[in-house]
Amino acid sequence: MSNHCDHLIDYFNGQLSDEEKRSFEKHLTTCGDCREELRELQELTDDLGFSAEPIEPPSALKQQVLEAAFNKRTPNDVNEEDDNVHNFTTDQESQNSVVVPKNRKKLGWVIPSLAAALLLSLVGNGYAFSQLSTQEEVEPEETAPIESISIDSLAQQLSLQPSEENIPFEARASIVNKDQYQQLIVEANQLTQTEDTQVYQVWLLKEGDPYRAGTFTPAEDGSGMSTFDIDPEMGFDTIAITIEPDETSEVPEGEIVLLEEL
Amino acid sequence: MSERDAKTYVRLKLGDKEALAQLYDQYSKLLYSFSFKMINDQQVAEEIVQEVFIKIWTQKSSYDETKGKFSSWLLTITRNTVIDHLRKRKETTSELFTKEMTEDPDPSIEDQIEWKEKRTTINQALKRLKPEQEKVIVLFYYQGLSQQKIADACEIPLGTVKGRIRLALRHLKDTIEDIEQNGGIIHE
Repeated sequence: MSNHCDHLIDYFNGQLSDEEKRSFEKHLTTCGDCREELRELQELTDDLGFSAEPIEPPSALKQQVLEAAFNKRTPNDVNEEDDNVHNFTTDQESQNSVVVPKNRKKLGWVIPSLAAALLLSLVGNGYAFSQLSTQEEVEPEETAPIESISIDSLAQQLSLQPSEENIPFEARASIVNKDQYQQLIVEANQLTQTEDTQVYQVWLLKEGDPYRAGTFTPAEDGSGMSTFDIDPEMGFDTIAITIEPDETSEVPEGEIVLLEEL
Repeated sequence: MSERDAKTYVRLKLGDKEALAQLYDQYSKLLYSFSFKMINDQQVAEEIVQEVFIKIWTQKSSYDETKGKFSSWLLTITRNTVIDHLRKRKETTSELFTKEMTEDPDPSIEDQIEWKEKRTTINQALKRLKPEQEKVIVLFYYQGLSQQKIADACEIPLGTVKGRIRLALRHLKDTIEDIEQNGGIIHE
C-alpha cells in the first residue's frame, strides 16, 4: 500500500487537485487493491440516492432545462470546442462516474476520446459514403471477372423493433460473412411512402457514434431493401433506421423508426 | 438498464430531442430530490438538474452498461455535480446533518413504488446503524466531504477514515439485505 492509496476517498468525492487526480489515476492502473476498493465503493453506494424524499421539481423547470440543453451542441455536433477537450477532464463528473473499472479497462479518458471518436466517426461516415457511391457506380461482375469465389455464411439475423408502438414498419437485418468483410442486408415491409426527397437511412452505431449503412426508398408495395458492406472489426453495437430529409445526412437528423441492438 | 431506457438513450445519442424530454420526465424528480437532499437549496437543486441534463445531452457524460444501472449512473452524475457546486462554494455543510436525518419519509402520494420501497429500506437501515456509522455515511456519501473533513467531524485519525467508511457501507448493505428479506422486522 502506498501513499496514493490514501487518496481513494478524496478521489471518489472529487476532492483532489487536477495534478493529484492524474497521479491517482496513474496509480489506479497498477494498484489492484485501489481498483477493487473503488469498485466496491461504487457498488455499495449504487442505490443510496434513492433515499431522497420525493420532491416535485417546479413544472417550469422542464422547459428551462430542455432549452438550455438544446442550446448547447447536440450529441452529434462537432465544432471547435473539441480543441478544448482537455478541460473536460477537470470536470468532476468525468472523473468519478467513468472511472470505476468493472473490467480492467485502460483508465483512458472517455470524455476526450469521445470527442475524438466522434470526429473520426464523421470522417468515417464520409469515407463510408464515398465507398458506397463508388460501389454503386461499378458493377463488380464486369470489372472484376477473376473474382475468387466467396463462401458466404450468415453471421447474424435480427428483427428491428419499432421505436414507437404506433409505427407499423417491419424490418429484418442480416449480416452475412463474406471473404474479407461482412455484408449488411436490410429488408423492410409496410413502410410509409417517403415524401419529396426523403429517404430511409440505415445506421450502424458503435458506442453511440452513428455510421451510415445504407439508404433506400420504399417500393410501391411498401417494401424496401438495402445492402451495405461493413468492416467486421468495427464492432457495431446497434442498428437504427431513420427517415432523413434527403440522402446526404451524415448524422441522423430525422425521426428514428426502427432500432435494435446487435 | 431497462429496455425502454436503453432505447430512449440510443435515440438521445442520435440527437432525438424527444428522447431527452422522456428521460427528463422519467428521472427529473429523482435527480431533483436527490440534489435537494444533498444541497438543501431548491434553486441550486434546479441548477444541478439542468447541468446534469446538459451533460447527458452533450454526451459530456456518456453511459454504457459497464457503468452499472442507468439510474445509478444518473445519480452518480448528479452527486458529482453537487459536489462540484459545494466545492466551488467552499462551504462546510455539517449543519445539514441534523436537519436532513430528522425528516421522516413522506408516506403520501408516491407514484414510483420502487423508489419508495428503496427509500424506506435505506432510511430504515441507516437508522439501524450505530450513530457513528450513520454519520460517516452521511458525511461521506450525502455530503461528499473530503477525508480530512470527515476525520475532523468524527474526531478520528485521518488514516482510519477509509476503513470506517467501508465498514459502515458494508454494514449498511447487510442491513438493507436483512430488511429486504425479513420485511423490516428487527431481529435483535
